[in-house]
This record gives sequence, structure tokens and C-alpha cells, in this order.
Amino acid sequence: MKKWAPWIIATLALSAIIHVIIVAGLPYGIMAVLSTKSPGEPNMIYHASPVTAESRQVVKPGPGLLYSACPFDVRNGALKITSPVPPGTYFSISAFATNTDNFFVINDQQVKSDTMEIYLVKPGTKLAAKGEGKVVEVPSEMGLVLFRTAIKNDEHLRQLLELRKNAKCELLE
Amino acid sequence: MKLILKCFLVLVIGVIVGAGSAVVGIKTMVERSAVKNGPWRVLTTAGSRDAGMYTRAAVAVGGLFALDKSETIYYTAFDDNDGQLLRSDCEYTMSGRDIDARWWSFTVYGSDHFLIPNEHDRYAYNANDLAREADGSYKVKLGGTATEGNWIPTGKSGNFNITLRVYNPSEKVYNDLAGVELPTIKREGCK
Repeated sequence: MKKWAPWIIATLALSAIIHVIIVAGLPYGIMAVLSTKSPGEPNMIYHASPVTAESRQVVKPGPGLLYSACPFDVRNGALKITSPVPPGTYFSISAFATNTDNFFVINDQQVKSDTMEIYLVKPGTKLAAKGEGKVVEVPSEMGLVLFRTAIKNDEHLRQLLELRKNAKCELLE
Repeated sequence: MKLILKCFLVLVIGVIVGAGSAVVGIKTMVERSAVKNGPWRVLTTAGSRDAGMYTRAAVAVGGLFALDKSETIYYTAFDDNDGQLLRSDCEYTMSGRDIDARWWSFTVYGSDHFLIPNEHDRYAYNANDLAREADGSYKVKLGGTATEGNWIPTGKSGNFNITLRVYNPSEKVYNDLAGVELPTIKREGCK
């Protein structure tokens, strides 16, 4: 038994390490894979097509929602996000860190103006936003910003597709 | 030679046990930490900065980009009201009333967490597009048999699950995730 003890301990220790690497690393791994598959460039907005069964990039897409996204990388400057707020429907802009945490979200009922303006910055960055603009410190320099809009019907969808052309993400260097 | 063989065995068994226990660990921790409401389950820390590593892993696999629960609550049902797994070869009736929130929807997903392709392009209903009963309640048929009214096809084989998204929930819903009235899911029969 004594002869096998070191081998059993080594096996258990390796199992524990693999266990932690998989559980803790899974969110980062999936986010990394997603960023390599993303059709959008970092810090540029990407407008996803309305959700269908062909939408297989991210699990559990919501068919009643219209999505746009900006993969962000604020290592070289702040990211300015601006978007018109669609009237009379749920609309939100949310930001996710590389560990998948939703560190920021704002919806249409939390702003008075018809445009949202958000700045994602590295911690310690001094930046002043005008009016209702919000400055948000990111917990990770890379991640993803997601725009969600609830679709009422086909005509509404056509209006939303037009309106979202005015949304943008730009790096302020 | 014996030493190499032993090292190889340690490596293989270590990887298998580590990976296997990670999968079991994620499922077990999620099941234990989920708030239960009939057949529905909700992870209260999904998307949150307070999420532990098991919740984060589960969200990454089955609900990436989940919003914090102050913004959206995600209930998921893998079972019917009798605790039986939801099967594509069975027919179900989901019955319920409006949820006290700004907007809500439910969507049927396959076991791979993607929409189930169907010729009707029908995957979900929301608060605005459901056909209602006279008293405002609703019934939705789930299964392979096309029916009049609210109906979502569930594919031909395997299991499926339903996600109920509750956007901007009222305080009442937010504070009573286990007690708030949610749709019931009743199995009507199987092929």
C-alpha cells in the first residue's frame, strides 16, 4: 500500500488541478473562442441578424430580441458607445467582462434623452462625460458590449433595423 | 519502463477524474444553489459579480451574457410539473398568467441550448404576441403536433428546455423568486 501511496496522491492532486482549471477557466475559454469567431472587429459595432434557428454563435439567443454587439479592448484608450434609444420598447446596453460577469447595464427607462452615451475606461482613467453620459470602469480590459431591443412585430423590426444604424462604438485614443 | 507506465496512468486517470468531477461539480452546485419554483429553476447570481466559479461556468455553457437579476431574471425548466424531463416526443400544455414585469418571454431550446429548427420558424412567445383566453390567461401547446393558437414545435427526438426571461421584474417578483406564480407545464401524452 505504501508503495502506491505517492502515485494515488499524485493522481488526486492532478485531478484537483484539472478540476479547478476546467471550472474556473471555462468562462474565459468560451469568451476567448467567441472573440476569435466574432464577425466584428474590436471596438466596432456589429449588428446581428434577427434571431432564427441558424443563429448558433451564442447559446440561448432570444428570438424576441434584436442584438448588436461591440467586442471591446480598452488597452489603448476609452471606448465611446452611443446609441439612439428606441421609443416605447425595452432597450438596454450591457457590458460583460472576460469572466462573463455583467458589470454594467442600463435600460431605456433609466435615461431621459433619446440617446445613450457610455464610456468604458480602464480603472483610474480620468474622463468626464457630458449630460447623461456615463463613465464605466471595466474590470477587464477586454470583453463585450451587448445591445438588446425587444421587437413588437415585423413593422417594428424594420424600424429598429433602420434606427440601429445610428449606433456606434469608437475608440478614443 | 514501469515508471513511464505509472506516470502515464497518473496523467490519464488524473485528467479523466478531474474533467469528470468538473462536469458533475458544475451540475451539482448549480442544482443545489438554484432557487426552485415548480418545474422552474433560477440561478440568482447568474451574470452577477457575486457569482461563484461553478455558476460562472454553468452560465458560460448554458446562458452566456446573462444579465444581472436586477435587470433580468432567467427561469429555466428542464422538467414538467411532475418532475419528468421535457421530451420532444411528448405533447405539453403550458398555462399561465402575466408576470409582474415590464416584458417577458419564453423560448424553447434543444438540449444543445440552441433553437430547434422548424418549418414554422416558431421558437418563442412574449407578453405581446400571445393569444389570450377571455380572462387574460394563456395556454401554449408544446410538441410535434401542429395546433391552432399558441404552439411551439419541440423537434422530433431528445429533450428540450424552456427559458422564461423576465425583464425589469417588479419588486414583488424580484423578492419572491420561489413563490411568484409561473406557468405550469403539464404533459398531455407521448408517442
